[in-house]
Amino acid sequence: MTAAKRIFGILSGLVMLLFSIVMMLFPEEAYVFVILFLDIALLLYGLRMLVYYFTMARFMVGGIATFYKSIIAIDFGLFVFGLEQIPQKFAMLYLIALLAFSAVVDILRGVDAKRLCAPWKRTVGFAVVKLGLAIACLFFLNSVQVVTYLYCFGLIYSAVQKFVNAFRKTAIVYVQ
Amino acid sequence: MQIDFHYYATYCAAYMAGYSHDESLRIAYAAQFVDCCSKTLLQKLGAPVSAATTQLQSELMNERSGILSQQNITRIWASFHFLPYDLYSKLPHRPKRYMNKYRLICKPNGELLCDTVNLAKGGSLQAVGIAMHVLADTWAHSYFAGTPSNVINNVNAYFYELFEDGSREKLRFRHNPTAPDDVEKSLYTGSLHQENENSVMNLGHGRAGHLPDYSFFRYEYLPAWKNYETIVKDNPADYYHAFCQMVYAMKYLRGSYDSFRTEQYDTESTAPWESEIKAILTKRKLCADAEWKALGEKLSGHTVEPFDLEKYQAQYINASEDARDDTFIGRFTLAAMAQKSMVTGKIYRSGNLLAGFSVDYRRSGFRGIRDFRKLISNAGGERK
Repeated sequence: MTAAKRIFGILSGLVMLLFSIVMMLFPEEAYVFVILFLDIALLLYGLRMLVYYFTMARFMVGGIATFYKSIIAIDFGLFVFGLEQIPQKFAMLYLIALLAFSAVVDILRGVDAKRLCAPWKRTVGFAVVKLGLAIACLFFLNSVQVVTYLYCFGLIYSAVQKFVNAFRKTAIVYVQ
Repeated sequence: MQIDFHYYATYCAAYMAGYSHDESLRIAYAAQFVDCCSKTLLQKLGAPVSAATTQLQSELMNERSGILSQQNITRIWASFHFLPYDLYSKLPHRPKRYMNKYRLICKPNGELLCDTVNLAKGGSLQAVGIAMHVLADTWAHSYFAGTPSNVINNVNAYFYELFEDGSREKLRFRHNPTAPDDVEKSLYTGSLHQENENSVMNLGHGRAGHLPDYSFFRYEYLPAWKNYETIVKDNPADYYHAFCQMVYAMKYLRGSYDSFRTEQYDTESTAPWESEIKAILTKRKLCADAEWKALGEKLSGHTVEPFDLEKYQAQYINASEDARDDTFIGRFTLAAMAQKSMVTGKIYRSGNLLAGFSVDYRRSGFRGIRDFRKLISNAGGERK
C-alpha cells in the first residue's frame, strides 16, 4: 500500500467516525442524512462500475453487462435523489436485509472454517450478533433513532477497518 | 494438479532424473506440501506465517477486500501456483490497471520458470520440490492468473469436454464447495460468479472448477481475456510435457546440464515409460494416485509411502529454536520464502504492485516483514 493510500484510508476513516458520532447525537435530524448517504453510496457504486467498465470490463467477454448495470444503478440513485420523502420502514428493511445477508455469509464461512479445522468461533460470533441485531430491528421498523444508530454502527465498523488496513505492514524483503 | 501428480509423479520424475529413492521421496513430499502449507498450519507449528504457500478456503474467505489482502493473495498464488508467463507483455490500448492483471497470466516456459529452477540450484531438496510444484502447475494452470480478477479469470457457460472421437459434451457447473465433481453427469463445482473484480471467487481457475487439475480432461472454453477466442486445453498432452520437463529440470539441478533452458523436455529418459505414463494420464479418474504409485514402485523397486501431512511436524515442533531451520519443514519454509521473495521482487520491478512492495537488501538494507530476515542469514543453503 502506498503512503498516499494509507493517508487517504486514515482520513476517510476519521471522517466516517466523526459523522457517525454527530449523527448518533442527533438521531432525529440525522435520518435525512442516512438516506442521503445511502443514496450517494448507490450513485458512487454506479459511477465506480462505469469507470470499471471503461478501464477493465470492456476488454472482457460479456463485459457490456457491467455497462448496463452501472447505468441502472446510477438511474436508481438519481431517482431516489429526486424523491421528497422516504418512509423509515424502507430504509430499515434495507439495512435489515444487508445485516441478515452478511450474517448468513459469516455463518457459511464459519462452518467452512470449522470443517477445515481453522479458527471459526469469532466469525460465527459476529454472525450471531448481526443476526440478533437484524431480528431486533424488526420490532423497530418505524423508529428513526434505531435506523440511525444501526447505520452509524456500520459506519464505525468500516472506519475501524480502514484504520486497521492503513497500519498493516506491506513491505517484503528481496534477496539477490 | 493434485496429489497424484505433485507427489507420486514427482517421485517418478525425480527417480528418473537420478535421485535416490530417499531423495526422490523428500522432493515429492516438498512438492505436495506446497498444497498444504497454509497460514493455519504454520501457526499451529509456530513457523513463520510468511512462508505460506497456499490458502485454505476459510483463509481466503476471511481475507479483507483491500489492496493489502489482494497483495497477500497474489504473493502466494502467483509465486507457487500460477507463475506469470510474461511480466512485460504488451497489448494495444489497454490501461495499466488492466495490463497489471493481464501480465500475471500463467503459462509454461516463461522467464520466471528459469528463475524458479535456478533459485533451487544448489539448494535443499525442499527447494527442488517447490520448484517442481511450480513448474508442473504452469502446465495445469495455464491461462489463469494467480490474482483475483474478473476480467482475466472469469469464464462463461461455453464449456465443453472434448472426446477422442471428435464429439463433445457441454459441462455444467454448480457452486457448492463441498459437492464432489460428477464425471458421469458432466457436473462440476466452480466458484460463484462475482462481478467484483477483486473477489476471491475470481482467483485462479476457481471459476472453471477443478478441470485444470484433472490429467485426463480435454476441454474447450471461452476465457474472459482472449477477445472471444476459445481455448482448447489438452491436459493429457500438457501433463506429459510437465513430466518430461520436470525430469529435464531435475537433471539440470543435479548437474547434468550447464544451464536450464525453456522448451526442453527429457523425452529420452521417459521414452521407455511413455505408453504407461500416457495410459495413467488419460485414465478417466479424478485422482490417479494408485496408478502413479505403482509406476513409482516399479521404477525404484521401493515402496512409495503415502503422503502423510503429519510426518515432519513433530520434528519441527520439538526442535530447539536454533535447530528448526535445519529440519525438513524449516528448510521448506526457507525455500518457500526465497521463492516468494524472488517472484514478488520480479513483479514489483516490472512496475506492477499487485504482489506488494519489494526491497533489494543489498541496496536498502532490511525492511518489511520480519520473517524474511531469515533469508539473509540462510541465503544459499545446502542439499540435505
